[in-house]
Amino acid sequence: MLLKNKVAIVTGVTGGLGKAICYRLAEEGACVVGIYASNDQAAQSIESDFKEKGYKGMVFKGSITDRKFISGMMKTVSERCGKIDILVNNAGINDDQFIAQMTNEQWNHVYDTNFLGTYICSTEVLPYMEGQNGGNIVNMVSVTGVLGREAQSNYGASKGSIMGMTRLLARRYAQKGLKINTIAPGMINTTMVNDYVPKNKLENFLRFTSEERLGEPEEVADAVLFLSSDLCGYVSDTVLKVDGGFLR
Amino acid sequence: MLITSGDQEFNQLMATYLLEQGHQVIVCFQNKEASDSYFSSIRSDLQVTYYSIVISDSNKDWIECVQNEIENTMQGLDVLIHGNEMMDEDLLFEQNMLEFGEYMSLQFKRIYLFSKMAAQFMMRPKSGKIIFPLIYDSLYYAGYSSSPVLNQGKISMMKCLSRELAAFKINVNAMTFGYYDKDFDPSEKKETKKTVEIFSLKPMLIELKEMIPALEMLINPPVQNIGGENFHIGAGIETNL
Repeated sequence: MLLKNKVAIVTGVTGGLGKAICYRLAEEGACVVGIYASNDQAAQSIESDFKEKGYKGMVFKGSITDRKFISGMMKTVSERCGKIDILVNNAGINDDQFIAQMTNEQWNHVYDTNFLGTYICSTEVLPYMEGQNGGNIVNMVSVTGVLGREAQSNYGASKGSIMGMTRLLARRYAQKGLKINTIAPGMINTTMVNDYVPKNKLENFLRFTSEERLGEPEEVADAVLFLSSDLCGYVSDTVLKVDGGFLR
Repeated sequence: MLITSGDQEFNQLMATYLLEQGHQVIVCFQNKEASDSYFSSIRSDLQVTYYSIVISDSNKDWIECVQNEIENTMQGLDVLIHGNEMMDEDLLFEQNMLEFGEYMSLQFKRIYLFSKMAAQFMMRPKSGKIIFPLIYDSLYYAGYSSSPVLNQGKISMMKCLSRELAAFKINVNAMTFGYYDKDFDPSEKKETKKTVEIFSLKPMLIELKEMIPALEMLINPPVQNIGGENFHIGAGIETNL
């Protein structure tokens, strides 16, 4: 097992990617702490399934942009589990609009949830990881952050900022044993893609993807596992694209 | 033409260059003293086509003020240059880790509002340029201040904007400026040259203002459909993800 006795926090745990990441880390022996914003039913389902499977874990409900909540949650996890080894900043939203019609609310909501939420979770976990001279932070971005996409300037700017934050923190904390990296998923079989990307757009995306198919959440979770484990010993401040060869 | 973050000397140098090329230029400042000081520093013949506006975060309608100024003085906008904040993010993070995130959010809110306003001006005539001048981030290791969050966020935003605004013949690009002479004394210059040899042998350390004419590639491009690019000025430099 790659993560035996490790403690991992995963945000956005009730979404398609978050859930897959949660299970993948638990399968490898980690105690997984899931954070979710609103979907109680999905969170309870994960919790009871974890118990059935004998996985270790717990869930917390709250907003990643609420520093007080995140700080309290980290303290509780540290007290109950004795440490925090892994943080996966997976939670994120989109609300697409062309720049000329974008409202301030659309800009603020998307930028702040994605960037500020990731920033708050990261800065709250840093003292624990610094204190134990090690830890892995995995930030989820998107191919939009890497390549850009129309009507997603709010989303793209937030994801680009997360890549920049990854660089800022990786430089500062690499000497303290922290591995801070980013994953940029392409078109993944989740509600974010299936419900919001028009069918004709999606077909064209797949035309420009070597794999000619959507990725599965479990395939992204495998990449998260790599960057969460000791296998990534010499990997720092990288953006790992998990996109089936999109636009390459 | 509109240049933001006029308080920074680098952006003032760009404004002066553009004024010298005969353009009408509005510069947005946040500090009135900086605005006055810049105005008094430019040649009197250039002052005729120069306009300034001081914006304040306490005025929630500041973007409307900028919009009115453009309409009143220039009746349109051909080029928006998102002036570089010349921010040392590493230092800022160290000084105030708790507020750093909110501060970045504020910077990007401004960039969004300026971009939206520019797009609205440029869409009807189907013409315009939006430019993000950046300072090469890897210079961090050579002792320069760097802005990885602003840089990478702007590059991603630039690519998104380019993909949608190209339909209106609006070019959105970035230009990354590499190693430069930041008033080094001879020994500092010699040391810095050694350090930046990682990018190219016998590197030329020229002043930033000498690199500014490179902006012409984006303001007057040889072909009209150049968008979503990050042009690098300086041998051997390349922005990596």
